[in-house]
Amino acid sequence: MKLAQLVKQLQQGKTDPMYVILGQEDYLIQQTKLAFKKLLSPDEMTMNFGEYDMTTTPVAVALNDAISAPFLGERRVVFIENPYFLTGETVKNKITHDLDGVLQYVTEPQQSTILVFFAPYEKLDARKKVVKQLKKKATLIDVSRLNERESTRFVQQRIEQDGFRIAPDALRLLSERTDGNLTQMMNEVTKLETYAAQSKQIDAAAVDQLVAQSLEDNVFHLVDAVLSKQTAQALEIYRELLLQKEEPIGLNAIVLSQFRLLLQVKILSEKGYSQGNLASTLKVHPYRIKLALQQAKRFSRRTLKAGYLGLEETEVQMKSGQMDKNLAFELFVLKFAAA
Amino acid sequence: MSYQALYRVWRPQRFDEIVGQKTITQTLKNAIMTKQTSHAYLFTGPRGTGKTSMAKIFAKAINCHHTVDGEPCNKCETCMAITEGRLNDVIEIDAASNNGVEEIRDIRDKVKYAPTEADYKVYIIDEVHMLSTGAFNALLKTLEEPPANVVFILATTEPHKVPATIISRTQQFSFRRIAPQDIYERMVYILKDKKITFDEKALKVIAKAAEGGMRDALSILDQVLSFSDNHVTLESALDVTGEVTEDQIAEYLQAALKRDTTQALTLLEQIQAAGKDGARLIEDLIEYCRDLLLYQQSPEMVEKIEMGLIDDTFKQLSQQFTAEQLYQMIEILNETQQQLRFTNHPDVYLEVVTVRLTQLQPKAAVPAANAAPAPQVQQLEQQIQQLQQQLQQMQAQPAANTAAAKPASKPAPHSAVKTPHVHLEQLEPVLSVATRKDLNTVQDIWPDLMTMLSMTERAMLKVSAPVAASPGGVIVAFDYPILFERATKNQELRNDITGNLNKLTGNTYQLVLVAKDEWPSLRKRYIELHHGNLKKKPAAAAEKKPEEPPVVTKAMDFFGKDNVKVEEN
Repeated sequence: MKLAQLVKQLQQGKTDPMYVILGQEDYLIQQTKLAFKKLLSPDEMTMNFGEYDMTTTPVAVALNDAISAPFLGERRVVFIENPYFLTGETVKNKITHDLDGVLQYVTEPQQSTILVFFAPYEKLDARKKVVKQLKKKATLIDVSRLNERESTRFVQQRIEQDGFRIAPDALRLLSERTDGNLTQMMNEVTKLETYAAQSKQIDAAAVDQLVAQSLEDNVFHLVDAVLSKQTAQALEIYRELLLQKEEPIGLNAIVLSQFRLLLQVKILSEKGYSQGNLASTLKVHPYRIKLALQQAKRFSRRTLKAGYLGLEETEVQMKSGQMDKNLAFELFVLKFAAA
Repeated sequence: MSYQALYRVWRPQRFDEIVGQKTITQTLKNAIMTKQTSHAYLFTGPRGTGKTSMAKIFAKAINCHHTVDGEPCNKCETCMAITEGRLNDVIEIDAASNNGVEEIRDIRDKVKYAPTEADYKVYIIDEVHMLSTGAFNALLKTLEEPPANVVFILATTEPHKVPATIISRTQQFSFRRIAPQDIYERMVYILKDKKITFDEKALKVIAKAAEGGMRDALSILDQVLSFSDNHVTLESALDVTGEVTEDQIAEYLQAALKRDTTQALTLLEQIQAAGKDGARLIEDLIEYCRDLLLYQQSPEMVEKIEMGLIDDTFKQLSQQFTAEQLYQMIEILNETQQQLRFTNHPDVYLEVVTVRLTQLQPKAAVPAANAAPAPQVQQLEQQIQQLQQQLQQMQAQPAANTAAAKPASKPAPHSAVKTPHVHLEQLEPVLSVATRKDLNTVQDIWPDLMTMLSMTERAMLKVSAPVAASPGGVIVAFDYPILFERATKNQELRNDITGNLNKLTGNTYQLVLVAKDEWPSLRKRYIELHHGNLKKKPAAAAEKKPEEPPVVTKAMDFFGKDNVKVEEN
């Protein structure tokens, strides 16, 4: 079942005694928690709600809570977090979980209790008995990571629900800066909506100003600026990064590795490798390959090679103290652009 | 009341007073107006961009009952108490010194209690990246489920040291570097308020030196004010920032461009006499050269950084120097920078570098015809045209001869100086009887010889070394073709060297100068010839033989050829 469906059912008062929330999308998990908590009035929250982290608390404690009858209310809500015993994962800690107890409870759950397993994993270990039982008896809610397109659509819907409008380029920029991560996007959306409280219009400039760029993103732009010989822009990004206390050697290394990737992608794609093949051959994330392909297309192999070698030389100069570290990179940029 | 530093007196007290962070102030003001404040904020950005100020204003605004458009009134009891730092509900913690789990646990325990006086408890945790891992985890728990009426504001200069789990639970605002123009305007505002007059240029220098940090700018301004009487002068600003004036640097480089060694040395002396640090001078020179390069490629960026401080000299210089020259100069300067680290006598190196810069390349002397892409090419084209014309003229009227032909035979301008060539014959007498022992003797006395020469001569010979010697002669190789060329022409220098060698050893030496680049090939040619003469092997293969493998030549370079014996195993 999807989250939206669940929320609807919960609002209508239709509840099941057991749920498994499977997936890693933090934002959706938080939303699910909120939806369950809404079932209880604030007074009930103190008595009829329990939340147990399996990495620190034995499951027996949670089960104990689950089998007791609700106190002055209709139902009891119990959250079990990080139930790693449902997966193949081995966790190094001394807590012993009473798995038989879980199995027993799962076969005959307390009807007045809603027991929710929050499993932030990709999948459960289906060979385990408990899991088999759970699959039969509990309702499974899927909160796995959304892909970029899904998250973007989700975000757009949410913004429109809130009565705001977002320009297409702004949405694209937002998704770019957050790497299409829904949780991050939603976090930023609150901020953006506050900013645009009066105009109700979210434009690209606002996103640019308010959504922080990640280091990788910055470096990507740095590489792009260096390659397309926009010296001024490249140096500006570089200096900005230095002010954030990034190490010049580190930056140089990242730019170098990006050049290396571009070269690899360029050469291999000339040999007819596809995007998927490239990703598996080079053992690099497909998204990076996709971007690298776009970037590599615009530059000749010679340019890329010159850049790669130049950076390598810069690195030697930096590391052997032949040149001031900041200067070395700036000079490389200037030299590369002049060549 | 004791003196308060400018940046404390002028710490902004309203959102509008914060310079250069428009979007952030707008967002926070909106949040307060619409009561949609988050429970945790993360302010990131370089130092002096307003993070802590923003946090304090926010603490006031969220607690003030008389806000206008999200701005705190700064008049009510709560606002005043927060400004003075005596409100118990606004807690400022410096994470740099309270970085343990204990301190954070303390917060966690106290966070549960409702605020006593104000509406919200505000925790301002500065330098949050300094927290230990344990402390971060402790903080995480609190951030995950904060009690109502508590706001956390975390501030840091290094966001990448803050765990992602923390970042994802906060609203992050990244503060930008303040543009020099904004800093400048703020300083003007402050000085006008204090009724102090100023040189515009002085403030621009300060704004530039502050690198986008308002606090740095005001600290520098404070220092400058402390030794100027109600007037901020450019000199005092330069003194505080320790910069050599751009004018001096420009003049120095102009001298280098004109290949005017004397002038450059005089300037250097002046700069040093003014008490500027040698290393700093080199650094400034490198930066200036880099800016020149940058200006050649993208003028608009330099203009932005320098805030219109670019003078005509700068523009001229950027046109007159070729990029190639600038790289070369930076390389030389950079080398010197390294050398300066290991010496107690920076003066010597500074003088050497001055000489080297002024004698960079024959090309440097060509007055570049106003930013033309390649002046030499143009010149040549003109010459060709001239020649063609003259040719036609001559064909037309063969009688009028010499007068017309004269301009044609006029030698090309000074630029095309040819590097003098060393003839093998000159080497012959020395090399034929050269021994390792003689070379050693000469090498031993070389430093003594140097001390006996005059300053300029020494500077020139700094890059030279004797490479071969016989009882009656010595071959000296120069690192740089240009110096070699000058030395060859300088009869006085050669006399001095031979004279002093005579004094030191009692022998009369014949002096032969070569360029270092050419030396290996010269010697090889000599060896080839020599061997050929001795053995006269007819076969073509045999002729090749003396051409030793590179390893052997290299070894010979290192140890002297008498010390190398080739054994074929």
